[in-house]
Amino acid sequence: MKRNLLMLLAGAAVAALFVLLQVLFILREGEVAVVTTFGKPERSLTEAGPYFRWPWPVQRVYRFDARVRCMEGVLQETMTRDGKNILISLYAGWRIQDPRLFLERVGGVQQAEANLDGLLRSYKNAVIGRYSFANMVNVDPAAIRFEEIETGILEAARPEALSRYGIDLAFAGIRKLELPEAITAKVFDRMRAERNEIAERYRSEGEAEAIRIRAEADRRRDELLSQADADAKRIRAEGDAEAAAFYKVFEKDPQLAIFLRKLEAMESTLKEKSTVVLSTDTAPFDLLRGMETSGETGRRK
Amino acid sequence: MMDKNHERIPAGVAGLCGVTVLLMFALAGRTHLQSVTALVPFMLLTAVTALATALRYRLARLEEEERRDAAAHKAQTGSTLFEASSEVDPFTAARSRRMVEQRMVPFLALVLATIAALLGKSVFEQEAAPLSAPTNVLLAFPFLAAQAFVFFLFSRYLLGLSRSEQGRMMRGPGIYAGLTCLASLIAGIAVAATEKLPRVDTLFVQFTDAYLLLLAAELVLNSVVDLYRPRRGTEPCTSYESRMSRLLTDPASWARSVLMTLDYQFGFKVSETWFFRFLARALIPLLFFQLVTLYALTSLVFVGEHETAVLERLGAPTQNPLLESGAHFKWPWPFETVRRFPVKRVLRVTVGYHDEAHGQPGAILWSVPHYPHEDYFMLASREAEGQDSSAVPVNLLVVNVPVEYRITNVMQYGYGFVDASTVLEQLAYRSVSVLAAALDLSDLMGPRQGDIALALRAHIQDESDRMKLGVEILFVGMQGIHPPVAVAEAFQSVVGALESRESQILEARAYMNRTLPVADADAFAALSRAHAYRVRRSQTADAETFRFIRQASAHNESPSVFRSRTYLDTLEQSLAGIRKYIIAADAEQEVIQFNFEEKLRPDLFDFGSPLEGGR
Repeated sequence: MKRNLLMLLAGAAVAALFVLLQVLFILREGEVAVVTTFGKPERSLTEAGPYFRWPWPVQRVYRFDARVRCMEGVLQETMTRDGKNILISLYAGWRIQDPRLFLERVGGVQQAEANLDGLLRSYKNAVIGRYSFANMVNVDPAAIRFEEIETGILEAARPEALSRYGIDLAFAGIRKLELPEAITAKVFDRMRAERNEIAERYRSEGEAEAIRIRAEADRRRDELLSQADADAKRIRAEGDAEAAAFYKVFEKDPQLAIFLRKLEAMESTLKEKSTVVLSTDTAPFDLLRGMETSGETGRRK
Repeated sequence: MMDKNHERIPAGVAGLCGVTVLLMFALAGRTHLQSVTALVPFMLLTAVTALATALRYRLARLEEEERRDAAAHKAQTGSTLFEASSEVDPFTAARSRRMVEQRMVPFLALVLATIAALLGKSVFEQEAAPLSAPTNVLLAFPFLAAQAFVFFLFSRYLLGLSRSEQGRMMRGPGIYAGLTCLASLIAGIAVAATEKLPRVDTLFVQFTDAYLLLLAAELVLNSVVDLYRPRRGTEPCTSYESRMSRLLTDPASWARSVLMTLDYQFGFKVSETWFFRFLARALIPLLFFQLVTLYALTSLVFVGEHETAVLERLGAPTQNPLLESGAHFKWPWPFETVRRFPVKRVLRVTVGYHDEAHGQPGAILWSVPHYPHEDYFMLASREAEGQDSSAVPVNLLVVNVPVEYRITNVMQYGYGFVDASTVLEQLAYRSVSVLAAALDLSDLMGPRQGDIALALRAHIQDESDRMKLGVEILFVGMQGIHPPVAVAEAFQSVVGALESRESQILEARAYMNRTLPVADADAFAALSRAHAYRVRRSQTADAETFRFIRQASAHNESPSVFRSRTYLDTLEQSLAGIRKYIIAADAEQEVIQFNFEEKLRPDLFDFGSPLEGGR
């Protein structure tokens, strides 16, 4: 009996929990909800806390996360005021402001982001068309108008998002700028050409500098050698002059001096690889002449 | 004695299956859920088994009535109705039942196996080519829950009846009804989960296919085994019962089997000992106590070492909601709940690349992408600006920037945004785009990188504060800035050209360093030679004049003798080693020819006397 009572109590507790879960729900911080009665939206709930409802199928609760949600748009090609094609992707933060309108008009996050993407893209094209390419990419930071463009898109899209979908667009920004593929290829070509130009400049600078350095080296070498050559000549001349001072002595007997010099010259020129043809007129071979005469006399005899 | 209820109940179950099959088709048409269609094979199996069971009970009842009538007739007339023609087996209920039991029931398992295999295959084909995405999925949940409940009741009732000897055949439809209940319950859970995870619908169908094919294999095996199984007396054929499904649908049968095995093994009724009785008595209270304990444990929160939790009471944060690392008590679920945030951990978002499932590269080169997907950022170009105005004055650069941050305000981070890290990532992307748009290539790739990283960090921090993200930016790394792979080679060639320039200059300097010292030495040598010449000239002249003075004084003593002696001395010395021809004959009338090609002096290969040459 006692066991049955325990089982009965447990069953009653489970049943009570089941019933409680059917009629009570807790809305968490950051959530909003819409309660519908037989499909008709009855009330919107925005404050966190416990709420009662009639069980299904009488009432149904649609909960939504009301915190700011960030969405990223696709890269879209558009044209600037000066006729240049550019790819822009946007991001946007949005939250559910009017849950009832959101439920009726949109229904879910995926659909909401699809709708917002379309809305933002149409206003993006309109706003971008008012700015030139130089307002987006420029070495002068003052010329860049990112914030103006973003504010323009946000201010245009915000009221429509609120009135049409019950969504508050909290912020919108340009995530990334890119160029269409064909233009990107051309930019790459130009970048390559720029790099080649710089590379060639470096190469020719190197070559020119090398030529300059070599010429400088040659110049300094030639200067050194020519200076040395001149100095050497001067020194030799001094030597010659010093030697000439001694030669005055030869003036005492010039014939003897020349005779002695001739002998020196003969000696030095006949040192090697010489063939001398001498007659018996040359001393001391004139001695041979007498021998020759005595020989002939002897034969005659 | 056979009761008509034994026929009606399985027949009723078969009818219920027919209705629910129609209901499932209608529901599948509304919701496009494959899970709903996947339940149909289970209902058909239940229906076929239930119809076969109803037929067997009906034939059994008719046989019994027939036997009873025959006995009454025999009592009245003294002979049986068919006694006169005992050689001919008349078409009686007993014969019909025998035929059914012998010719139909053994093959019922094969029929069920065929149904399971064919429908399993059909469901699989439908899963492979779904017609459209599920809609109104929550509509199916109550139907499936109600269906599971109804089949649960029937299953328990049939299995309860099957414990009596007469109701033994009810076990077959009871098992399949239980299987349908279980499948409906899992399908209901899968359908509820499909709202968040669409893949669950397909997973359930795959699971169903696998189970049906397994069931078909088991039934074929049962059928084969049944052919060789010795049958005791009137024991009915039950080869179409799936033991595998019985384990799932009648868990109590496990316990009974275990107890029977224990009794058999020990040789006495172990199940009737005090321990087993106590266990049986205390099992449910123990389970209940466990459930209560489990629920009570929801009052205990353990916050991890890197976390901070926010305590919510009935959905709203409490007065002092932050719970630091450690153990905390709270009201049980659902009255109080916590949200956890990794506040103490350094978190990270990346700009310009996606590095999911990407290991560290072996080498980081410009000519090889650093990551599978890298973004180009547009930079202004100083070079291109002055050129043709119709050209796009930009450069493209790959910028990989990891941004590390930590949560400083949990309430802003966790309650202001669904996913604050995504917002931070977008802000970081924007900041890099804005910053890069005003920079030249040389700025971003040159020595200003450090300053730019600081500026970027400050920009992202300002934007985060403006958005009230509740984060502190700890680090912004400019760690992967490189030209796109398509132009990397051209950039590398610039570096190569720089190196070439330097090497050419260094070579020229080497030439200078080689030339000048040599020239210096040559100059020194020339000067040295000149100095030597000067000294030699001067001293030689001095010596020569000294000698001349001496020779002149000798000459003055005897001029002719001095001249002749000096001449002859010199001639003697000069002609000593050279070839000489002395023409002693009268040369006026002779022509003398000299061969000057003749060797003047012998060399190593001349073996004759050196004097021979001079002759």
